[in-house]
Amino acid sequence: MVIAPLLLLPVLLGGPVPAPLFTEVGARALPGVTTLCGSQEKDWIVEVNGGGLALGDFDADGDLDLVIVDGSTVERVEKDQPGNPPRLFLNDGRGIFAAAPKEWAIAPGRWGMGCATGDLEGDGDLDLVVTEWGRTRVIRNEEHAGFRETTAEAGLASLTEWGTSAALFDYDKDGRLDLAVVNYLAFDTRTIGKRGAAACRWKGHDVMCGPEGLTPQHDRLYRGLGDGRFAETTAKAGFMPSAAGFGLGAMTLDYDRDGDTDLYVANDSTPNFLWENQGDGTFREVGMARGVSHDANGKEQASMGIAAADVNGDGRDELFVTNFSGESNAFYVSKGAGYRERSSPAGLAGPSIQLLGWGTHMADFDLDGDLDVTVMNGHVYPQADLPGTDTSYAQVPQLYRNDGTAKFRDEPLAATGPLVLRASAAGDLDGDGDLDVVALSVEGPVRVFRNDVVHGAGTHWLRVRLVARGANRDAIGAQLTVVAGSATRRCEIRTTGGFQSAVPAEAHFGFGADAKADTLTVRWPSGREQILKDVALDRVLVVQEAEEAR
Amino acid sequence: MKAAGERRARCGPSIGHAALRRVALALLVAGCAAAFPCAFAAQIQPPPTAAQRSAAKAAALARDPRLLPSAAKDRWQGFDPDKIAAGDMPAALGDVREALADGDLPLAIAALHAALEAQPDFPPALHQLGVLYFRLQRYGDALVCFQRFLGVAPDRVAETRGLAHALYSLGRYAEARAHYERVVAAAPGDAEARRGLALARYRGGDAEGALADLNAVLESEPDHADAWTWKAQVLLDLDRPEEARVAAERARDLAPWTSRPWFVLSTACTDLGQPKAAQAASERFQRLAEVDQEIRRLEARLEYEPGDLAARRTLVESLASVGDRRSVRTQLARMLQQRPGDVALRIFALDVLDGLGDVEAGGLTARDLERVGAESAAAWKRLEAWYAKVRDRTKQIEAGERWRRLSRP
Repeated sequence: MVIAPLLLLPVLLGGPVPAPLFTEVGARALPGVTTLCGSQEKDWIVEVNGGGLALGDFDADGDLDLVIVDGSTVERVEKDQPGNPPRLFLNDGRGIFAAAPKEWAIAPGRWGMGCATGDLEGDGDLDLVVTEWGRTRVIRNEEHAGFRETTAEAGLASLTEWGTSAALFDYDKDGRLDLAVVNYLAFDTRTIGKRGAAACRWKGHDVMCGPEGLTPQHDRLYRGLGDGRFAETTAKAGFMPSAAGFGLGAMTLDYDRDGDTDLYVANDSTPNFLWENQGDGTFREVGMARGVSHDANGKEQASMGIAAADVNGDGRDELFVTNFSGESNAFYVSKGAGYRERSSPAGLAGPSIQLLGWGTHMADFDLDGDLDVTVMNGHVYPQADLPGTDTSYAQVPQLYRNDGTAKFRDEPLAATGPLVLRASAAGDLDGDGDLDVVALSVEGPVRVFRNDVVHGAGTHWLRVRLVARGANRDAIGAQLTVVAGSATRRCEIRTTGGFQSAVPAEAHFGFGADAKADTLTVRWPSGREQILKDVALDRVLVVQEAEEAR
Repeated sequence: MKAAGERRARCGPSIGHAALRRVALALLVAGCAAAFPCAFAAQIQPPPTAAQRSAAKAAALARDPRLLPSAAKDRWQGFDPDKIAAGDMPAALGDVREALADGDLPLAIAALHAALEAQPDFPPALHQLGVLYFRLQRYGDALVCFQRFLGVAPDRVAETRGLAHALYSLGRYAEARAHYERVVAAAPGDAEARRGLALARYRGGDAEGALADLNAVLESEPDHADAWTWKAQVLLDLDRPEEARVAAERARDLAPWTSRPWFVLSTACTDLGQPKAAQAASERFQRLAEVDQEIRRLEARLEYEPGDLAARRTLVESLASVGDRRSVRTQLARMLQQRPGDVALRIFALDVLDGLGDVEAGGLTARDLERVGAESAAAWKRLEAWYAKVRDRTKQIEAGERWRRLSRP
């Protein structure tokens, strides 16, 4: 008799509140692993973006390992001392990581930022490119047994810039991976004022200076020679807009479905770029013409992370871009030959306005058959905790669940409460078929969000890895289309994802209650097409490119 | 630096006034209490240092409106702004007026806090505080003030569109829409509330409802450029690009110096398969957008630092570069008010207005320059050129003579 009213309480309050889909298990999965990014006070802009992440199977044992790109401090740089080195952590197959043996050690650089992954020589192992406020570095995988730095051999040792995100993709369709490096701005503590000394204000508070008022750097494009070396083609390929942007995010996608890979670049406080591949080794910047350069009001945003996926099932990827507080995140929905920003009607605008987003992913996290969105949040200014900012330094990471009609409702990603997160990478860490998320704090402990979706009859899934013929063995740029009943789902193979991060080169599909896929069609980067029928689900499927694929 | 006469004038009428400045604002008249004649105090008190002024602003901005004292229940029941008893009026409102006249929002906020501590929940002060917080883009604080205002003056819903604006700016679109509906019901003629309602509907996915509201706004204010721009955008979302193009062109014609109509026009032309027109609009948009960004940055800075002359000068130049004559006038007026004896600034103002072809405002500035720069050769040299340009031969000759006379060694 006493219990009944208590049982009614959740109903009276609007129903029981479901537990968050994810549980933060970093203390167990990555015990004691932290990163560094300058001072806690954030006196300089170089201290605020955090490092990078790469998820991939570096030791070829079938599970996802983790590279953490770590930072430094201004004091160390001024003393010409190196920052913290990038580190590899090997997965035990259950989502528990341990520091890799010394064969995998990478020398420290100046100040690590982001990374990209791909097989640079076509030898079947996963190599690494690390961006820094410093050099862009090439780290070769020596037949799954260790790393060796080959930056000088690769031809990248001479430039010192502030690289953020990077992308490995085959833009010229020669079967070899090429490299795009997104650059932020020219940073020098001798010429840029420190917080408090330079009258850089935000909502009446002293904050670090930039990016406005500082000098953006042009992004770089390199053609891969297939043996780990690169030749710069930035100017020759037309990969240089009239005005550089403050580049932060990169995403490869064939936005126009013409069979070659385009590149979308998220810029901070400057219009975003969409580099349309002309199919002849050159690019044309079409961001404005295609409706993805500004928000719906024609205002450039402070863009960071990018997610891309075909949310509405029309065969073209939508783009989701995370932005600054006071701006909403942008959701560019394919329309005609371009896009239209539709974050408001999709329910993705309002809940993001007071937050500052970074790493983001669009995938079927709850395996109900449609695509959801994760966003890691956290402000750049510790001063966001001062009065009158309408925001805070630490913020709650979000999961936006799709209701099946491309309308989203936000909920906390996990029960962690507010955090100051930056880069993120999504992948199936524990091999249970759902996608987990690793996220970096701006500094401090690395977070591992385990997906706790309850597996059953309504949560079928499929992971697909491709093995292509030729040097681009991971088939970056391949298109997969899977038909199950009346639903058609599509996925492009890429390793760009999140923010300053690399994700596994594989497709992940959720099917809800559909127990099998009628067909799986692979359009390989070579142009060949291969169709598999009656595909069983709830497994990792490896597809080899057939010699005579149709 | 302010003139002594100006400081005398600011000493004000009462002990309370001066004391408030001393204690709460830490401003220049700290010593101007009853024991000293104001004129004397003005002579012996140094002007506030930049650090003092900065500290006063910081203190003002650190205030939290949630911590303001509350009035007794029903203290303001039946409040009527036209029937405020003299005894109810907080003395600090005089400081608010002065700070606002200087365009100094943080100091005005400090004075409003003082007023509300003296007279808790005084409705006009709560409302004004909400308005100022909103202007500083402190939407959460603005919301607190407007909610308290409505709590003590529940009959004044018609005056609370700022509450809905704050909700909207915080991304709380459903709540914003609900409150806009209340305001529109109470004040059907409030076009800004109706426009806000349209935007809240649009954000919530109700494009048809938004369009109806925007049409209502345009019926009462047919030259509302922003409403035309939003109408064009909503029409694009409704896949009616031809109507969107017409609306965008109307917005463009009304406010050709703002970037957004060109952005929407470019999109409409793209949807209509008119690539050349789209490209032309896009190029104009991109040129204007770069300036818009700079203008937004400077305007936000000047709300907090109204005395930053260099920033205001850059703002004037940016506004002039896109031909926004009205905003140029506003900013120049503020600059000249802040520097009443500055000849060089008046020459700069005349240069800008001349460049814009604004003969009316230029004429007023020229007369001001004659007065302020009566003994300045540079002033008369510039005036000679101005009067030549506007073909005032008599004044041109007179200015030329003055220039030559003042230039003699």
